[in-house]
Amino acid sequence: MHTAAPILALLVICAALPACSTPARSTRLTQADLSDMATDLAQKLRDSDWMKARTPESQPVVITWAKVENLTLDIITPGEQWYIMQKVRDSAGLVQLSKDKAFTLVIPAELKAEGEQRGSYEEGFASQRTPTHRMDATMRSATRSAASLSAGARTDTYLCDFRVTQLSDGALLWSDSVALKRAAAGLLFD
Amino acid sequence: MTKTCTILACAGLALATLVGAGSGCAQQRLDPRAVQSAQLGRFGPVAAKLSESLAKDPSDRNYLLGRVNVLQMTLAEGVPDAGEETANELFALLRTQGLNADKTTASVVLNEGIKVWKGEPFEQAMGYHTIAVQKAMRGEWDNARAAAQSSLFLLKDFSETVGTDATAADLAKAAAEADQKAEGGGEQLLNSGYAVADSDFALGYLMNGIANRALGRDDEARDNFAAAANVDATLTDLATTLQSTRYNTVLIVEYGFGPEKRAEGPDGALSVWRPRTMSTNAPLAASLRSVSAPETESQPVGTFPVVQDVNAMSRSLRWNNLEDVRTLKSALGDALLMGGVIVASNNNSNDDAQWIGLAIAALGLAMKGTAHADVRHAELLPQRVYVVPIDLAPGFSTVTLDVEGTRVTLTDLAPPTGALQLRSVRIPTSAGAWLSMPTLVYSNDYTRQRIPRDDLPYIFGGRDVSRPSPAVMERYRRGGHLLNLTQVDLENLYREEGIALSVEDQGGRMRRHLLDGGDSLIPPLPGTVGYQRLFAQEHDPYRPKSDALKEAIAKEHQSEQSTNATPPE
Amino acid sequence: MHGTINTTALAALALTLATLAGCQPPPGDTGGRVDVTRTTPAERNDARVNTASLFEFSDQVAQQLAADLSSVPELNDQYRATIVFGDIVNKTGIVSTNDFEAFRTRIRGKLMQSRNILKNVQFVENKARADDLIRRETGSSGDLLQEGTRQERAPLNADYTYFLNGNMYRVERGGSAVNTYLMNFELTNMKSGAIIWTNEPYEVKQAR
Repeated sequence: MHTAAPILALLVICAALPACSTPARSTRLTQADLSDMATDLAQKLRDSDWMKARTPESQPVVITWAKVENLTLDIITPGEQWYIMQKVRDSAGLVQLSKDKAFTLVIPAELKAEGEQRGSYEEGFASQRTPTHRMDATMRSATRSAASLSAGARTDTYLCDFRVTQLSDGALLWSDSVALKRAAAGLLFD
Repeated sequence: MTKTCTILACAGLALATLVGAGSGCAQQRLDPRAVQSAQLGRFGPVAAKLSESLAKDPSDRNYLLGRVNVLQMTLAEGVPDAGEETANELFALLRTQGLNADKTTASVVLNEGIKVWKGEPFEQAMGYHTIAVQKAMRGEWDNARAAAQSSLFLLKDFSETVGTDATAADLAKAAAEADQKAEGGGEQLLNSGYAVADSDFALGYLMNGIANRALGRDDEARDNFAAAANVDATLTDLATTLQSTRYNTVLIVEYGFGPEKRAEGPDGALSVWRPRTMSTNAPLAASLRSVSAPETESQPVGTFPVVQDVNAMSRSLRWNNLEDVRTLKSALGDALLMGGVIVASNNNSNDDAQWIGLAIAALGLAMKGTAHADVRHAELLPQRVYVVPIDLAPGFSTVTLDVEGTRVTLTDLAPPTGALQLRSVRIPTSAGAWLSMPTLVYSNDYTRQRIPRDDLPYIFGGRDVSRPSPAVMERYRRGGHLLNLTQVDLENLYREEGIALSVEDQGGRMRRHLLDGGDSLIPPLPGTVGYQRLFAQEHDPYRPKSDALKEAIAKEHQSEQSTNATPPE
Repeated sequence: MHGTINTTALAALALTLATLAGCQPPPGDTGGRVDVTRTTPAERNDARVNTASLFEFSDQVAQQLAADLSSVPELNDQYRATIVFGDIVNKTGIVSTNDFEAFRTRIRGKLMQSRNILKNVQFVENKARADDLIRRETGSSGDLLQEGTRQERAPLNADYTYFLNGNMYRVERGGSAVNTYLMNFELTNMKSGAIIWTNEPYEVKQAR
């Protein structure tokens, strides 16, 4: 009876430990990663000097955006690339902010073209679409793996760089980035 | 005591039965009819059929293998959108590490079928490459780059330990001898006795180069093209062409069927790769003509070398995992322990027969349990791949490919709207005359030239299988057809027949095309064999299922008759 | 004893019959009918966005647009704004666009119940559908070369016309075991492409 309890406790701990310490098996970006990165970027955009300096009396600008460009070693589907930008736009409340900051958001060229191809728009839709600025982002990654392939350790560091560019002269009005790192263990071929 | 022995005996029998049953399950091969259909070029029906039985649970041991097969056939048919879900799932699991971490030891001892199939390294590289092709066909060059780059993973090079042309048997022998010298010496040799080497997957370098070029990343493109030429000097001219010349279309041409994995030796304990389509260096010739020009005015594009020989990859120690080596090492070790001598066979060539001879001799002495080799493999991989860059002029073109006495005609190819487009062209080994037919007999979403009876949908007895759109409805009406139907009415008729009009309607998967007797109206892309097979040959007339369509057809006939009966003014 | 058993048996029978009666569908209903906001086992195991979420989403969009109406200057201008169904950007890969179109129609239906909204906004069919209907209802000639017989919907004033566009995205992980949907509707000006209104972000995560 005296020995049973500690043994039982030990067994419970042993059973729990592997579950707690199971290493991640993939360094791919998760949905939470994409969401968190977008939310962080949105916050940075709202808090940026460029945005703070804008008032209802500022020179009006017309802003469009594009989906994230993927230069990582991970597949980020077009839906996910648009998801990230949509989240930045929505989390920053850009549509609601537009009146107070003297800017207008206009439909992205790529989505306009796709809609036209689907026949969703009437002739002349957005014929006066004249963006002056563009928001876009590029996701990059740096991969590191253990020298010995038998160790099977891999780390991917992801960096998402967000920019607001003035289209007339290519001037970068604002840029910032977010980063995250993922580590995984295990052989890639077993 | 007797009771205990009986219980143990029964348990042992049950275990043996389980293992026996397991070994039967592990030998899952494709239905031979699927392979035969693929040989005939019926890639779409094969993909659709295989899709029906895709495992849903990622921990299913055949989850990956099923998806590799489905994706191969989906791209061969020319419907990359229907391969999107499959490609993404495949990528996710290929990138998962330690997939068999808890099963490796058990599988070597008991039954290899317990393992989740992830494929030999060469199958994984081809898997990543297939994903890269799927992304490129959809114009997702950034994702194509990611997948192509992923195919260039580092390899284990044992040449310093066992020589440059060593086989699995040579490595197993060295490891068995190392075990004799020191306990665990063999395993240490396998885990550490190699140098980490850059990949020599030439196709991966070229694909990565093409993707980088499409993205405007010229420096990275150049590095990859140079790496391909470095790996294989016969690709130097092709690499230069891909780097420096102007082209707007790339054809990834696949020929034949990759090697077959067989269980050989006593109790089928050893797996051996045997070629199905023999390797040759036969070049591929390509020519091009405008669709309006006569056939005699074809312009040669060039001849192109074999970029990747999958047979050769399967024979290379670098491109195979070490599980067979471990099995053989174990058996050879037993032979040495029993005082046996490992003698090389009389055959001194690099042929697999040499190590089979070794294995049989060793295994004949001692066998552990029923360790039947796992012969699951990607049966629908091609034997070889060519890369063909072409510069298409404005308008529509026909491309002709000739290889190993087989001619393929690819019609309705137009230049891309973007900088570059890519097509997967899988050359069937036993196709019919349709493969080289220069003219189409059914119109579809992509056809621009007129085809007789293209002003009436196929489900109404015509020859058009376009998806409904304002432009398509206009064409029907100009032909005096479907005057009383709106686009929505026609779409509803398709739905009544259970016909899918979008990939989303198909749950993101592949289904058989309407002309194949299926229920999908998603057409293959022009410039693919699927496009040629569906639209360049006759198919059975459509049989309406729903009352709504039958009624609509009857009204259409009445309307046609009254139009014909009305004398012209 | 026998009497007790008989009474007990009768009581059990009565109870069983009463229970079975409770299991019968209400008069006029077919069996298997489920409340639209309930998630069924089939939906729980389906990777596609479940209809309960689509109901909730469309409710939210309609409520938000109604609530925001007075604060969107373009919808309170000198002329009544026109709203036309526009494009649905469907990047989910597995959910049919028809599903989203159905719920977009629901949003319109909800908005059209409000006189307040209809004072400021009119809903108009998109041109392709409207022309089809006109053709069918007026029996116009199919001869396109004949002047005056072909009828079309009247052109819209692009300055005051807005397309109700939808954007539907999906992030999938774990072999479609976990799917996150981000859905939004927005009003886009026909002339400039400017986005004048969008709903609060609606995101739903489904695990199978």
